[in-house]
Amino acid sequence: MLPVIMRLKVKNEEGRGVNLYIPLVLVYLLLLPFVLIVLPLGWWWYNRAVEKEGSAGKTSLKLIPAVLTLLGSLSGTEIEIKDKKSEVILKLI
Amino acid sequence: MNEERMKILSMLSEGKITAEEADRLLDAVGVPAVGKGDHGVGSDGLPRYLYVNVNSFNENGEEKKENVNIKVPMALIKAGVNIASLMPEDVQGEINKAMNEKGVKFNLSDIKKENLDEFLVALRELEVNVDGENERVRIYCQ
Repeated sequence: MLPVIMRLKVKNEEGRGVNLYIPLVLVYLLLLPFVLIVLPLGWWWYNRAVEKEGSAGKTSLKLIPAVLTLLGSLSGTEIEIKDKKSEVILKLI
Repeated sequence: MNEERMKILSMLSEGKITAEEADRLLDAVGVPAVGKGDHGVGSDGLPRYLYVNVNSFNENGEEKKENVNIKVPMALIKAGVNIASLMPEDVQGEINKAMNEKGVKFNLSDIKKENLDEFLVALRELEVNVDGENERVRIYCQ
């Protein structure tokens, strides 16, 4: 499952900062038009790969679920960096 | 009870969010879920996360507030290997060549899913502790 929330917390030495919970669904929706624009190009690239490499070119289609799996596996990643003055937290949930 | 937790629970009680979303939000604010198996291996016996913790201490041995905590899902390794297996042979060859030049005799096509599972099971036992004068580094899988 793709990560749905990104938490980003940045605090500086004066105690000011941001604590954001970003719903990634919005980001995915914003990216959707770009994906739709790129689709014809992807289709051309796929056909070219099949033409050039035969059945081996068809494996390029398997890259789509593989990339989605890779993105999904990012869920649960946490990075926390703290020192006396500042704090940065990045979490993908 | 902290403010963020209260807010999430009230959103849940008002029906603004589902129980699953509340669970995810509680995770995000750092409230550990009970009985989720986050602190152990997954149901398949494989570790779920790789942790890297770096803590620093001052000369008196007191912990400074300078820490780095990184938690990486092990699923990322599996997904990475899956993508690597889909790479064209000439690209795999280039990667193997580059690794060889660095002194690592490595063949990307030799990494199979079954071998990877064995490797991940072995990682359950992994624990690296490095204690320096002012720093402590701990790498482990859970």
